[in-house]
Amino acid sequence: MSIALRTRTRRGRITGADDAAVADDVSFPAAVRPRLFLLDPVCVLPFGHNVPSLNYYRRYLSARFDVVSPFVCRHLPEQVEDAAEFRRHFEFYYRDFIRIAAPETPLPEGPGHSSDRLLQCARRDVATLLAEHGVGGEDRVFVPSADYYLVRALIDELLLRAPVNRPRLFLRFIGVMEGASRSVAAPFEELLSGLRGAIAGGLPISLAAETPSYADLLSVRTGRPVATVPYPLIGEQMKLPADPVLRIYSAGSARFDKGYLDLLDIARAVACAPFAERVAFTIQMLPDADLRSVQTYTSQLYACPGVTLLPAILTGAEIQHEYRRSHAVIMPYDAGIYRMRGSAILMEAIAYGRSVLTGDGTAFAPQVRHYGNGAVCRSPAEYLAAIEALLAMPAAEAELRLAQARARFAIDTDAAYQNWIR
Amino acid sequence: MLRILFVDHGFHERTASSRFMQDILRRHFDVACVLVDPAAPDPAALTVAPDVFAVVLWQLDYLAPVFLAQGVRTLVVPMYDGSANLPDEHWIAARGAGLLNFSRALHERTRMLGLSSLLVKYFPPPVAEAALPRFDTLRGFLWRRRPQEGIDLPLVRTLFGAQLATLHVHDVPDDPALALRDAIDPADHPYPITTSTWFADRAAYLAQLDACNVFIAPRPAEGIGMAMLEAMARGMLVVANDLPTHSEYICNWVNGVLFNTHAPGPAGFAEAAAIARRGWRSACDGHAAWLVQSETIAGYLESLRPPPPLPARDLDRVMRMIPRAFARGATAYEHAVTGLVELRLLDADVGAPDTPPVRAWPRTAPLLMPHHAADAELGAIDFAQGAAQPFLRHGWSFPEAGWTWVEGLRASLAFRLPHLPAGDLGILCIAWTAHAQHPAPLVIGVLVNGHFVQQLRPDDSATELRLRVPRFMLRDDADNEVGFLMSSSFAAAHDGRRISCAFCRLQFFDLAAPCGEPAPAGLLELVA
Repeated sequence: MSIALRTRTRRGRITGADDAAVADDVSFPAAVRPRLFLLDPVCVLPFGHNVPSLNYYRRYLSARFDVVSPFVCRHLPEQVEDAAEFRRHFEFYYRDFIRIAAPETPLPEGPGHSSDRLLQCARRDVATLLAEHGVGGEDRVFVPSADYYLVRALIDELLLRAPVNRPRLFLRFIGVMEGASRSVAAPFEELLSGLRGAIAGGLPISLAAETPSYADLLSVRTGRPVATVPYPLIGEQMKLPADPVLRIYSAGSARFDKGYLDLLDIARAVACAPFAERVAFTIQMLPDADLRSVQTYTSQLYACPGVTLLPAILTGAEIQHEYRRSHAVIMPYDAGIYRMRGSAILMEAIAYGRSVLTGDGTAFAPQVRHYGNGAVCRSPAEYLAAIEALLAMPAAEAELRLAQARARFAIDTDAAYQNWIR
Repeated sequence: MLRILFVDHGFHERTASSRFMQDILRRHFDVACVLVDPAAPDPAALTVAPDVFAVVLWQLDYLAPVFLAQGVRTLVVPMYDGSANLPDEHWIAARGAGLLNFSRALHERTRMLGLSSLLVKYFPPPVAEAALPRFDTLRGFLWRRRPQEGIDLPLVRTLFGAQLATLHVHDVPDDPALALRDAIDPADHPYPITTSTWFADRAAYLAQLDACNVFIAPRPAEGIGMAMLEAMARGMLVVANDLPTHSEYICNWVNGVLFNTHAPGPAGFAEAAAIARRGWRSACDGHAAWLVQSETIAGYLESLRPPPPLPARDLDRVMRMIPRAFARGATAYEHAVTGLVELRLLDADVGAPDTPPVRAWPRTAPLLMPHHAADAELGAIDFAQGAAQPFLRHGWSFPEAGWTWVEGLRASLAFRLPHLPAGDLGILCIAWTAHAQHPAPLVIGVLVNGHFVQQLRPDDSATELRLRVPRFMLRDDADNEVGFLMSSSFAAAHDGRRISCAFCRLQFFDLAAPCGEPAPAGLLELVA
């Protein structure tokens, strides 16, 4: 513990060793607890995980910070449920990667390549936010899903400030948008280089990653300890349904890298098994842009006994309903794409008390093994065996095992956040 | 009870294939039935009385605009086999109607085109388990309905070889001229073959079906696939061509077997009994689900809103044009329906749902700049490498090496003229498309400042297309907007775009000005 190296100022600001990965258990008195600014400029789509996960964080961290202010992309539709507490602030910097419905607005004028103008735009957004809200050295800025432009803009803007006016930055890497730029040949390397420079320049930065594998990689590349912090556990455990049919849910808008094209082999194997009539799959389809190219495959899924297809986009209530009526979620995610990435679906499944069936080689497969909330499978035959094992497990035992996994995950996650973000 | 009009093809009076749907609707509505012969259209017979709550079109989807134009809520029940190859305009013209789709492929296509669609999956009642056929031998049943499309005796021989113990051929092709003329030579087949023609009654047909346990689906594609589903519900092994709706009911080698009429090969049927049983289980589960689904149809119909009727002149045009064009054949119909869509696009601003979001454009469009002041050329817009971006408004994809695709069915650009030309404005347009990808040759309607100018027909390679824009259509003190309306679009091979035409360059000329340099080929003709 490094508590001996630290002192607290009269208003609660911690000085001294500033590495949160080895932080102590100092907490702030209620009256002087810092404000937390929760930033996600990629939170723009009315579906997907950005909105719910930001809400997870807002609620979860509200217990420890008096003020938790989420700031999102200003193009997030106002009709989006659960986004009432968000402030729409950032321009959208990732039109090259994600198509959104909002019209483009002129970027700030400036010399150089258009993508540099994206960085200028991000810097302008960050500077405005910091100025308008008087963000100072006693505040905390938390980026739960680090993205290229926000991180670079934060670094650039904060380095311009005197050390006493620099809020502590908590950057959580999830392996999705960190390299999302067309302006440089190796944006992720550029980002890491910027981080190393910022750390050397004295910016108070704490790093975390969603998975242990990614944390290890970042640690080697930045020369700093990197914490591992999954999504916080929010959501009550649901009782397993009494339905004699084992319902397996492929949750979330489908994607090729989430194993959409592997689902048919698994469903076919189950349909031909002796216990086929006791198993049902509910699968959310691909978004239209992707669905167009795999209609023949999707028709075969549609024809497969025991399979029900759902639209790519469901409301929050519909997703809750599907979790409630399911026993397990299936996640045959691509090992290459998810070599470093975690999964919000995994967190939801643990929170709601649902088993997870997933492929091997992803960064979160070891988490499934560790928490014991499901099975890691390498082939349709192994998925079949895992499903048969779930069928054979008495409901009471399954409930207890999932509760145990949930409790273990909650303890680990709470400890990780307590230690990392403060 | 609300009154609805059930409009059906005259042919179905004999097959009674729509009877089950009429029965479902009769539980909720007072149903009157009208039979239509598409070959002899009678527009007067399609006029709807004021007390009709809704019209249900069974398979006659081409008539949807006729009833929508009258301001009647319209439910269309299209069939994959009849409608899958019709162009997008066929469906766009039916916007405002509700669709009841038995095919997932049609459901997705129409949904993505912006239509409201309810997807359902029909299964007839399954037989009791005790009545399932035995699989000690394989006994095939082939309804020889479309031999000209490859589903005939040679295909069965290729697929099954000596695995079949017997084959019964129900020889009643849709085209009677294709009936078997000579006795089948037993030496040509490794199994004995029996034949039949129309049965005296349905019981006789079912008795023959029960004597077999393998059903070879009679057509390459189906609207629902009643015969196939009936066989599945009786526990037969269903073997069918790999197209909807077969491929939406049969998961290959799980609950049936799919073949390809274009490349059939021998297959092993050792698992026939297990596959057939899974097919029967699918029918059991599917029928239970259908009973629930069928109860939602009336509610869906009631939820449809009647569209505003067209003005009398346009209504008369639609009611005469569409049925007659359909009776004249595919080309005439596509031309008519494309014209109708253009009319709707202009009047109602109905855009394709996949049109990219509107781009924010400068308050004023850029000025055209001539390369040589003395030329007849007023300027050019080059679509290569993004040079055209300042001129583009909506509907354009990203710039590529030498062109920019139009995404969806509409696009526009705008420019300002330094001064009005002395004469008409000539536009030399260099564009191309991939004709093989379009359901019919692409036709582009061009509008300048809201005035229709002419149609363009691009080729497969970049070619010069000429436009003459009358001077009165132009503005010298404001933006000149050029709109392009496409007759169809298609899915790009490697990404999610739906594209229609690639534009390379637009060159603008004052057709009254003397040419300082030789004008491009084609322009001379235009000037002349």
